[in-house]
Amino acid sequence: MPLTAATALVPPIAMMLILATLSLAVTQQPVALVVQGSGPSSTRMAQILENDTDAYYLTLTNATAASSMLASQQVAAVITIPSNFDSAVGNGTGKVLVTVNNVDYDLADDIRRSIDRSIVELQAPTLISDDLVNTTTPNAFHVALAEQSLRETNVDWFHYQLVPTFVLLVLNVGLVGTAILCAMDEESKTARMLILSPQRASKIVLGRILGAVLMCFAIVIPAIALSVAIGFVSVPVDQLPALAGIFLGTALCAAGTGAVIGTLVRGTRYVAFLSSVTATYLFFLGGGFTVIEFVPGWLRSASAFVPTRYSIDALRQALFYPDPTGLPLSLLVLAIYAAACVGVGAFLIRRSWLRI
Amino acid sequence: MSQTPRALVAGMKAELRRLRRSRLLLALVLVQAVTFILLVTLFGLTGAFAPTIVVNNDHGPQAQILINALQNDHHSFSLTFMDNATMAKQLVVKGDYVALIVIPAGFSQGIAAGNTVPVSVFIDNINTDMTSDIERAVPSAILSFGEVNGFGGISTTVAETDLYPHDTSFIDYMVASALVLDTLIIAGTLSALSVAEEFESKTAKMLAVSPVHPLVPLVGRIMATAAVSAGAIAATVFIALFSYGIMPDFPLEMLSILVFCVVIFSCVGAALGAIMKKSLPVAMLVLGIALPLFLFSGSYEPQRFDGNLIWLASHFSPEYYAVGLMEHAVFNLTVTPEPLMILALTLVGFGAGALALARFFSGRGFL
Amino acid sequence: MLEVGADPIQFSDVHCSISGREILKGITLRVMRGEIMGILGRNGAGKTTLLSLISGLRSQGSGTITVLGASLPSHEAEFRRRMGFVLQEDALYQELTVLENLEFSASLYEVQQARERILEVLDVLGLSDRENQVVSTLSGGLKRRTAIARAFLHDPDLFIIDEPTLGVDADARHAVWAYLRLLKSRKKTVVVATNYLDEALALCDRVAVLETGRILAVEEPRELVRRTGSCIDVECDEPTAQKIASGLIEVKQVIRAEVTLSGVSLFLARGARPDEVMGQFSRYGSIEGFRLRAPDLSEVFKSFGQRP
Repeated sequence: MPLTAATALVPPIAMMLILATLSLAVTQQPVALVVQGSGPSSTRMAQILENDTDAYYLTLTNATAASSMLASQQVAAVITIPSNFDSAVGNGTGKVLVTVNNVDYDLADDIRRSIDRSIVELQAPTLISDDLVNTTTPNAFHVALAEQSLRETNVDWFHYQLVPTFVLLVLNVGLVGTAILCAMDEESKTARMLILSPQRASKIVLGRILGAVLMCFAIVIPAIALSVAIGFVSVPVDQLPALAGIFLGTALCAAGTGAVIGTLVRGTRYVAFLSSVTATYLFFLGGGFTVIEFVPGWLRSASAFVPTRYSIDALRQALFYPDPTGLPLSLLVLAIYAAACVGVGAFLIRRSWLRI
Repeated sequence: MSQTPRALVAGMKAELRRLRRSRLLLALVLVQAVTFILLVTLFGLTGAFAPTIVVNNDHGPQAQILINALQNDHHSFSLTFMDNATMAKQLVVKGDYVALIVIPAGFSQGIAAGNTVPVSVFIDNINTDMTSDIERAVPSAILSFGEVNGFGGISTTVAETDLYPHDTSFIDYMVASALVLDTLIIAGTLSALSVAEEFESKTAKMLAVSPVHPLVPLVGRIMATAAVSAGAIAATVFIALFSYGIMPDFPLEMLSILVFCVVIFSCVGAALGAIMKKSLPVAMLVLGIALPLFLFSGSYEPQRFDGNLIWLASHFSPEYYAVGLMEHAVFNLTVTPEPLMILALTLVGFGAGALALARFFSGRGFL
Repeated sequence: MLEVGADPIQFSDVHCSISGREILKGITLRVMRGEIMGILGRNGAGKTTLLSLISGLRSQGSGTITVLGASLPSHEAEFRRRMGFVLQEDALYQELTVLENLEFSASLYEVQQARERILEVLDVLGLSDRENQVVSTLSGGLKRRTAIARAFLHDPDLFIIDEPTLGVDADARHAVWAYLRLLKSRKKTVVVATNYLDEALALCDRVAVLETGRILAVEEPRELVRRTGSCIDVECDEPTAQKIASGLIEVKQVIRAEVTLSGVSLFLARGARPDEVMGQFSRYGSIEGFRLRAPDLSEVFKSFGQRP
């Protein structure tokens, strides 16, 4: 059992480490810049590209080295400002040369969008400026942007993706752990001893579920503390009660669901697999692995029925947004789900014990 | 038949019979494998086609040029058209869309008159990566808008050369590499279980006192799990390629690589089973490390793009080499600096190393 | 190759350690051809380790072991083909049927005319109607019989069984005993590890008493019981028990007295007359009852002066 419990922790821990590593690379693309022109336009263009550190991990080099880097996949693209750039810009035919490793359009389009943006910035800096709001300052493209963001806070990709891994931790410990324990109760017949004891069965059953909840907290609290210590996440002190509520609700849902699986399915091995599959679906349907807005509408609708959606949403609201108006609703829905999962799970546990 | 092949065949037969009676287990392993394909698809969805509402209050020719530019802008947007900006904004707030673009009335007239007309953009800045994609895509579309119109003030554009004649869809790319992930899950889990159960049930001791070398029937069992895994992978491949409409460039090469991967990952699973000797933890371990290893193996872009350190670390994952071979077979892409022969030979090395580990740890478990 | 008349198993001053702990200390033992030798000992005495040495699963640290004419360790196929081994655990493939388990074993041991041989063995062990039953659905006793059938399939000369009737019901127990006696009748050599004295009495020609890695004695089981002495359990209160114990220990026929929770146990010497001893109880106080019985394993060890 200890070995099984330890391996259940592998997915969320591995996921956290992977996210931390990937966060160093996912937002930037490695690009080589070759500046062959020497005039003011060339210099300005090079400066714009070099300043865009959000988009590029830029290496300034010569054409031969850049070509070699592209071939050996050290860079995803080579941007060349040709020697005739200034004169070409002067007569309206300026071209920034780009060679892209278009192995898939996600990374290629990231580079293309960024280069386009840089070129727009060269010709219409006000179009790119963050200070522009609802203005008609003329620019070469005759279009101005009045941009507004929904949320006050900007959350980077790593922190956004990290938060669901705590939910994954609770799922793996609470759901998979409870499922296996319930299955083992039946296989080893230890449930008989429990049901024969003078204690009420409902007390013992709730004790089983609460034990799983305690185990979840025993794992999640150190995980969060470690993440805070390393600087992976920061927890507003006034949100601690909300966090406790979120993890309590999630743990109860996980334990209840695990109890359902562990009592309905025979055989510890099948229970382990099925609970692992279930945890995976709960995680990704809850938005743990993607931005929910991007998934097809029917899948988005389905995720509204998944308790982890509310856990993950509530966590993000509590940790990232100073005005978490949606938090009480998420907590309420989570509480209802938790009560239902615990109720059904407890009923099924007791029924399975009486069957033995 | 001499004794060794006989014992090998006996091991295979015993394992096939066992698997025949464990259909639920096979089904669950298959479900988990297919689930990972769904997962990576979802991951791929967030890279492009941001769900965006366009409220076109103008309906003139310039508005249409702008809309065309948005639609054709580097797979950036999946546009939905609405008439009511207030309701559209509520949908963004609700989380059904990530952005709203409003083209004001008089847009075409203003452009035709040479004015600069503001277009409002409302973004759900859910995370900086996604927000940045949209914030770059809009100016990119505007660049295209300006080029189409041939505005006099535009002096610079992009001249792009691509390494490949066409872009590969990000989702298709990930599905191809996810087939490697599935191979690891199915072949690795089944062989790990087979070996671990041999020790867990103590039947390994009976093999140890038999006249044949105990590894011979064990290898027979692994061969059986590999055969079953190959069948399960074939089903997964069919589902994946059919569902996503992917036509491999080199189908025979792809099939060969998958079979090759089944063998290699079966060896890896056998090693894990021999090391842990407990069926439940080893199965959970294979499932648990498969996805993280996968993300670390050039599964969504050439791994070296993430820096030399991560790239070097990825060489410890057999999935890195397998993904390199698969992407070439399916899309004729080169996603690793190493040539294909090196990838294949290294995988063979992984398999041989895994078998050596399995042999070493099995030896200690026969007592 | 084993010479005619040579002992199938010979241990000479064998020591064996596992993870730095010495499990067997200076074991010297001979098992004669055609006998049923019991290895009798409590849990942790080293029985399983000793059997592992015989089977070749482990190697000794020092000393010599010869089994069927081969010096151990030996991994020769011919050597292994002449041994049948039944582990403490059944070690059966749970998802396979009885028949499939035996077919697998028949392949490993190159059993000729395997199908016929399997049916024959199933018939002898009373498993004919279970051949297509999946092992996981069998009772403990039937699993044990299946494990024995597997070990006997290739008609070995030497049969090693670790705890043959552990966890099985009375019927299965007697069936297993009957089968082992059948092996003896076919001139097979059998080594049985057990911690049941009654099993040793029922089966074995000789027993080697093993305690903390040492052989305390090798003798016939009846001799062992006689050495320990039969036992009278007396039910009485504690003061009476103390009086009986201190009083009767002076009597020549009583070799040992032990006060228990329910009274006192008196162990009688070889040839003692229990009725004479019982007649003296009334001198020490009133008793509620008494019972005459054979000694158990714990008492056997006590007779060697070992701690219980």
